[in-house]
Amino acid sequence: MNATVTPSVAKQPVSLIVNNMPETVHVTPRTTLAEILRDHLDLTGTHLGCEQGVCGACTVMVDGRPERACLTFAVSCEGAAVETVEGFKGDDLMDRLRAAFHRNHALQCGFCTPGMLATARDLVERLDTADEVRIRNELSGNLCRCTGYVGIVNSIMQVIEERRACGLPCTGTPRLDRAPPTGFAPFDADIFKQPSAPAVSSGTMTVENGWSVVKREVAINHSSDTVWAHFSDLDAVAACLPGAKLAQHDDSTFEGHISVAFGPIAAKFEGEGTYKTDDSTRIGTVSGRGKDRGGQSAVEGELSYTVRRAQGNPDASVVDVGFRFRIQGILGQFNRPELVNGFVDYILGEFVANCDSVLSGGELRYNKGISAFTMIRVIIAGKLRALFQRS
Amino acid sequence: MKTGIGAKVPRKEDARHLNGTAQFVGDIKMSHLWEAAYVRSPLAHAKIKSITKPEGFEDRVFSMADMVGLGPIAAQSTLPTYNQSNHWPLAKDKVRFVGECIVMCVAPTRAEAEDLAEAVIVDLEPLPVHVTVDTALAPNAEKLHDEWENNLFLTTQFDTDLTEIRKTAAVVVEREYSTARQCMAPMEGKGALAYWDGKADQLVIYTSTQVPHLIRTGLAECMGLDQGEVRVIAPDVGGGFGYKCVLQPEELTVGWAAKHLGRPIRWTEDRREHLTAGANTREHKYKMTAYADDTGRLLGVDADIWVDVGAYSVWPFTACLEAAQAGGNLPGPYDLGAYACRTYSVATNKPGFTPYRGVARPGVCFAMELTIDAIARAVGRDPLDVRRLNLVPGSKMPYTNITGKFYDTGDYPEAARQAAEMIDAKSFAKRKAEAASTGRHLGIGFSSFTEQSAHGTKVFASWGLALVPGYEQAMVKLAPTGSVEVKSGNQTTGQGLETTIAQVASDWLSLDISSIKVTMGDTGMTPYSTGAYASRGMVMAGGAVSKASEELARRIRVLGAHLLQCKAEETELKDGAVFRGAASVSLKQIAQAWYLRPDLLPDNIETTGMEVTEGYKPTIDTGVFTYATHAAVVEVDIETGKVDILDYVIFEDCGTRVNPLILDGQSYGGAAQGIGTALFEEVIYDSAGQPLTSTLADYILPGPAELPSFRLGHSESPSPYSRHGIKGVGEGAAIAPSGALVNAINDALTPFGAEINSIPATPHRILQAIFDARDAREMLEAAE
Amino acid sequence: MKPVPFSHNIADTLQLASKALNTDGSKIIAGGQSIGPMLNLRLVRPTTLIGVTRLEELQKIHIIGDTLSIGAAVTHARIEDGIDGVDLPPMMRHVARSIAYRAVRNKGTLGGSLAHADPAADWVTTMTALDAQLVIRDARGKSRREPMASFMRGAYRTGLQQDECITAVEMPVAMGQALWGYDKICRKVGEFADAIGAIVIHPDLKYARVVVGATEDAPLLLPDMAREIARTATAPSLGDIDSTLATYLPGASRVKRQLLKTALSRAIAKVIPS
Repeated sequence: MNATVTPSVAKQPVSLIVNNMPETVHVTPRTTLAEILRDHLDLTGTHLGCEQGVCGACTVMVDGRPERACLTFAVSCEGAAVETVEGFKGDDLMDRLRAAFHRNHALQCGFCTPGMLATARDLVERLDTADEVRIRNELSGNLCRCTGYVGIVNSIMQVIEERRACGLPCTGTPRLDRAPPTGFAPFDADIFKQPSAPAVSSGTMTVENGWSVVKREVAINHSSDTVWAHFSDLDAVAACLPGAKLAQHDDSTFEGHISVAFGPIAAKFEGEGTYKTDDSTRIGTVSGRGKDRGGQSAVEGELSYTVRRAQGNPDASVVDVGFRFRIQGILGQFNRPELVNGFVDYILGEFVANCDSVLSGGELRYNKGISAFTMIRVIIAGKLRALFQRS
Repeated sequence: MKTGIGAKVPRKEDARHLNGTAQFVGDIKMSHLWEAAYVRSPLAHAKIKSITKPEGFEDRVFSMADMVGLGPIAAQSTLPTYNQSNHWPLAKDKVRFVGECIVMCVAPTRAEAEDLAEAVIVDLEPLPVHVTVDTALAPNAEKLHDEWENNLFLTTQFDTDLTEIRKTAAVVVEREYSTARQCMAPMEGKGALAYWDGKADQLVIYTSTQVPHLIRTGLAECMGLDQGEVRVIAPDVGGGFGYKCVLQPEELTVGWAAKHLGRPIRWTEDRREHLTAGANTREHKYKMTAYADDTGRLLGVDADIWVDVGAYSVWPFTACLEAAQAGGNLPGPYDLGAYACRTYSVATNKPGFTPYRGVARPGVCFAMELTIDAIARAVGRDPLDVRRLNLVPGSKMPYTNITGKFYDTGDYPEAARQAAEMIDAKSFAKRKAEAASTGRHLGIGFSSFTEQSAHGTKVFASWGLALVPGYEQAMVKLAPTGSVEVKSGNQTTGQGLETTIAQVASDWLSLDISSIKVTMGDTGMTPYSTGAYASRGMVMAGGAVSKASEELARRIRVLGAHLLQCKAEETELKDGAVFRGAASVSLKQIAQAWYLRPDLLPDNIETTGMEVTEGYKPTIDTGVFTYATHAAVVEVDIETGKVDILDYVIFEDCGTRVNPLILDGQSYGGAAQGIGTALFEEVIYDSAGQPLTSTLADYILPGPAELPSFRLGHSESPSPYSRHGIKGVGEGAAIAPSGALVNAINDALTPFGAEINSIPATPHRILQAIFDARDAREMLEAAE
Repeated sequence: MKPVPFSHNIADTLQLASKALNTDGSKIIAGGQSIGPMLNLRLVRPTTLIGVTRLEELQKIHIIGDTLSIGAAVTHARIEDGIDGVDLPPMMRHVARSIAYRAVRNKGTLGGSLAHADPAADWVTTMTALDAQLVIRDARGKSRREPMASFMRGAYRTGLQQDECITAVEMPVAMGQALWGYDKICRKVGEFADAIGAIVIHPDLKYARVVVGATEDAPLLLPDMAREIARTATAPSLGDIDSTLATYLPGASRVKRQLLKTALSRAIAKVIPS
């Protein structure tokens, strides 16, 4: 296995206005706004607390609105007007907030403070009244580990009161009120029917001792002799598994890789394994271990299948597919096995359609590189959804 | 405005944070600075078969084999059954937890260092994994450390005879409790920047630490350097909570790389690293039997405590401090006659256990407080009454408890009474019934604790630590302009020590704190201190500053007396000047006389000078005891399992309050973290030892909407054993919330026959408990 | 936690954006509030990002005839604030304000969220309940429409082809007058949903839809329950909801079903008084 260092991308100029000063920085496109500020403009008051969009420490004002500087990449900053904690010169509301934070002991270690001030600045301008419940809800995108938020919430409430006392209106739009439910007169509705996915298989998905275990029963419209001939040929099986590529194999071992894509996530596992097929029982097993990017993540899996004749139809067969796998390392540090169920039907649908097509003498169907191994990704993505639901 | 002890003054630290000029490790600018990234183990337990570096980058990629001269972190203990572990800064032959460092990569930017890290190939051969103490202790279990006999770092026991009590107790309550593994999650992760200073011939390391002087000692030891060749500077530190009180492998490798590459090297811990490799605290399991009479009076407690301490013993506090504290503190604030307890510090394939705010007591307090409520239910009494019946009363103070803890001052039942009054416990039954009539389920819960703080030499020695804190030192100096400089080797990570120790000096020297400059956390500029942990900062550093300030005040008066041409005894130091009657000389005049115009002074004056360094510890080593009772009213949404905290009060006594504003902040913040422990925070592992909570969306920290508006009450029973009667307060509020909240939840769940004994009490656990109770009831009904 | 190296193009026409998508390793970025963390974690490893939020066409909110059209790059905050001179359905404004946090809502977009197709996200369920149509354009400039109710195929799977991009979301203007209920259960304010229940009723349009979200899969329509609610104008019992969910989601745990049941019953209670 050869690991190579991903080649870098050229720097490009990005011009933006920071604290009222025009600036041009030369950065690679993967540079975030937070890094532009911290590493290229020496404005280190903007802190990175998670780079996952959750903690809010990096919140800065972009074009007058609070944004996450850790999720904004360089090129999209072109032309932006950014205000950081080092700025806000002569800003009355920010001066009042700073005084209130000091007076109310709204900071201890100070790491979250710059992001808190940015969010607080937005709130004291946008909110009409100092409603504690609403302030606490609106402040939820900024985490503080020291203060229990007491001083912060009090500061925001006090500055809203100060703003009101000055006769300054809020800039936010009022929220819509909800009337209590009134009900309605009965009627016959036109009901949209959701197209249900074709039932290609049935089975279970469990977690056993750290392994995800998927069991499926798949019907294929070919005789069991034909199907077994197909399933006992590793090349043929691999060809139908979207994303799989055999580099080489003998009659019991193989090397290769499998590309996996799930939503926007993509990985390529390289590895080796063993396989065996038994013509008398028509049972085949393939097991393998693969690594992604030098071993930061590892997958282990075992695929087994039994081909039998469908009851009452000599031209059809049933394949019992069992798949157990586990994934470790960075890609495995998110877990949601229950997501697998729905996805496995889809995967097996693709796989079976490919097998069906080949067995009927046709070509492999177009596929988007999703493979049986993709089910692994379901786990990953499921756990990640928390972060990624917001685009 | 008076700014001395007791003044509610805003902090000196605030301004730099409010205008963005604070300097955390990640903020430091230095030419030629390169950043580090680590290849970390993807497996929880494995043999390292090979490491392949990306071609052409060998000079930027380092394994342990490259780091010649760097030794392992090997925390020692004098306790006889202790097993020592060697934690190599980069794994040598074996990895023992997910996230363990294997290879270090350096590059001009962190992104490029990560590009390198993912191009390194590490071939690992998996070994059986221990994710629970049960599998680790099973017969013939795979051993983490081959040279050990089993997977136990240490066992301890307390033993008084319970035979008679077992026979006669009217009430026996048996429970099993567990607490989840947690991350401390300071908002700033760990970070370290090192460079070799050619002029000083010294390795300078800026590190995000609570204990700069300890890190200097540990770093010098592991790197084979003399202490004089190492200077440790703790700049602004974004929260510590214990996470930053131990020597970390990254500090060593950053130091080694800086020395050998001849350029500054920095590592900044990112959130994924923290939530996986930094998942190192709180995980306990209890099996408890409590004996009481029919009034609920505790007669004895018998307990087994397992602490899941992970793979390595941290330096200097070891893997065993937690269990020692757990066993010693389980009886807590209660007057307990008989106690037996066995503790097991069990090695598992997780990051090495590090003491977190409250150290063991959040666990033991949770276990004990739930047990008290269980006893109350068993005897049919109000849990508050049973609590007050058993708490050590003021009349028994000072009181030595069953594990030998010496409670100095206070009235524990009174704190419980005050908390009950604040939360209006008397009318709660009515409130609960009213809510129940509209289908809402309320519960009330209490939790009492003592917080041993600033415990010293003998206590740490008894825990077997090789490194024992002694006299805390501080330097106080009158500067030529008449202002004062205070230098302390302790460190503030947000607790406001720069302000509060200035307040102590302010008291003695009659200066406003704005004229008192405090320097902390730099081993090159401050006298030795073992640092900030064990709620010792204010007692120890405050005490040392007090002692040094007292002496400086005396010397100032002596010089002032010369200038006023009188005897020192005839003078008084007040309002920034030395007075003799109406005549006075200002501190500035005195300072100028000493530094710039010695010609004004006679020849025979005292020559000790205007710089005083003093060592200090309280008159007892056993610590001074803060105590409190927390009370909570919650509503449990039994359809979603969600807990809404309707009211939360804390009644606390921490002796003399140096700065009420800061002190309240410590209580709010501690309670917030305790609520995280109680309801939200949990590192989840799969059975292969993979941590599944690697983002802040998976590992949930309580936000402003999840936390209540706390209400505080105070009494002050100063300790006679510490200067100014100060007691430590930093950890306390984090101890009690799990007990108060889960007792309240269980109170609300009583109609459903459900009980929570594991934390965090997540919606999932609460719903499951309700379902289980319902199933059990239905089975019973079916059987009848 | 830094992304892999990538190029980043800001598209100035939609056509160019779609064409660029035909390149291997290219990926649209809208507000970037979902893809951003995935980039930082190196889970998403594009060679090229194509930014689309500056396309004016994707920013418009307007009414054509009896159809309300909302550009795909309209942010959650703009919907929350409703200040674009076009009345948005109150349900949308209500849902928008509970998405993540204001700083995220200022950047995150409606189209981005739908294309991302996270089962626990708000818009996929809400837009299904409101019978939204997605306007989708490909590299040749050809537009097609797909109902939201079938667009999401499963977790993170949609009907989008490699060179396609959502340009707008449409729905009948009349949806602004619909009766609606929405309930989301999450552990922490702003964090992902553990359960979502949604109901939209519009007697004049003979429209009734009941949707359950955050099921780990595409939003689940409960057509029979919707028909029955419309026919009787009464809420189903908890037991009925439970058995319906048990039928549709046989694999769901008891706790999950409990949460979905609660969210749905609470959503319905916002439409039908008990």
